[in-house]
Amino acid sequence: MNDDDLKNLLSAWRLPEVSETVKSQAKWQSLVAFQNRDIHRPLSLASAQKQPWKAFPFFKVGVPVFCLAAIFFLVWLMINPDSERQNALLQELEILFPGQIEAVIKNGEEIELRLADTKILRPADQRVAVRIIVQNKEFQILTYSGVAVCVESSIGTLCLTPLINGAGRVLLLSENGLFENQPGLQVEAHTLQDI
Amino acid sequence: MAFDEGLPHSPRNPELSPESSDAALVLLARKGEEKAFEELFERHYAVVRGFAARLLLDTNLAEDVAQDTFLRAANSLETIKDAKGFRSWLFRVAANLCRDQIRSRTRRGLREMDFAASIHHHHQQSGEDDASRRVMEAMGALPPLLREAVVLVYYENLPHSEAGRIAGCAASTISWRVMLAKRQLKTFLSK
Repeated sequence: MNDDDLKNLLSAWRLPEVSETVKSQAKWQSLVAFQNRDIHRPLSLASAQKQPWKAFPFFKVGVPVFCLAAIFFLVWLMINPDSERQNALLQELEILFPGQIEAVIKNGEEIELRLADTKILRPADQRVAVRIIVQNKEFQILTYSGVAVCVESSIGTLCLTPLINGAGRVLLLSENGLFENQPGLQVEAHTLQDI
Repeated sequence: MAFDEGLPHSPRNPELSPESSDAALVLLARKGEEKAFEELFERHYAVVRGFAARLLLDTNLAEDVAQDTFLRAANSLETIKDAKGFRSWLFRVAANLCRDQIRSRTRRGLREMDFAASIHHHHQQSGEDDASRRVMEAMGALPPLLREAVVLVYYENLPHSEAGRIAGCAASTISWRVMLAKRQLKTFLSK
């Protein structure tokens, strides 16, 4: 089944028609709420003057997020491509987010932590480091065997799944089979030894 | 940009019409123009309800979510930063409300797939066709985050970047979820 077949199949899902009674009730409730709203509340100049920081959600949300990102960035700056250190980083993150880490992706200066919806405890010997170089741009990925990872690159979305085979080597699978290096696109992967 | 920029002069604007942009309607509604808010409701209610129905696999719950979404819109018009992105804002609110509903189901120990099956059984009386049933079951078998990605990308036809903003994640995460979902859907629907 190709993607077009899938799209056609998905379009078969029909929803029941909108009930005019339910819609009218929802509209009436919404219009009552609209009439009763306090239109000056959120933009009140007076309240902004009393507590100016309230007008800047950056201080409430942005600062902690920035600090967290800075810590991650410093950790990444400290590490080198040494697999022992990468392994240690993944271990630390596993303590913070037990069973939730799908991947840690370093894309230039950006670091993205992907967390799973449901917790799956993964054995330490399933940890994998993947390095993707697309037209001189490098992605470093720490993930686990069997976890599919996608990155947005200059040549489009790249999705691959690392798999550790019986000999301890890492195979990289794409949607079309075994991943192979191409001009302008190089991928390498290795397991992370437990420390 | 000034608050009133591009805003027609009178709240009783004769130009208010079904052709007005969402941004113009939001700005008019902020000024108290009820007809503008009513037009926004008419324009987006069915879309929000359909979006929620596909996430929750239940039209009754989706109608509650759609109503709650517009109640929040009525109370939050002044806080919507990007009036042009009103539709995306509605999707974001509806998606959050749907996640609350799904969490509540999970707390009650109801698996999404079981839930889809029970809803399907209920809907069978209404003559739902077999293809629609199969897709609903396949979507019900997906974890909620993957289902959300498929609904945003395939049913709402949003680009991955926009879907990511609504789901609260990166565009690449949406690509990744869509890829995993496609794999599962193909397996399920090929049976």
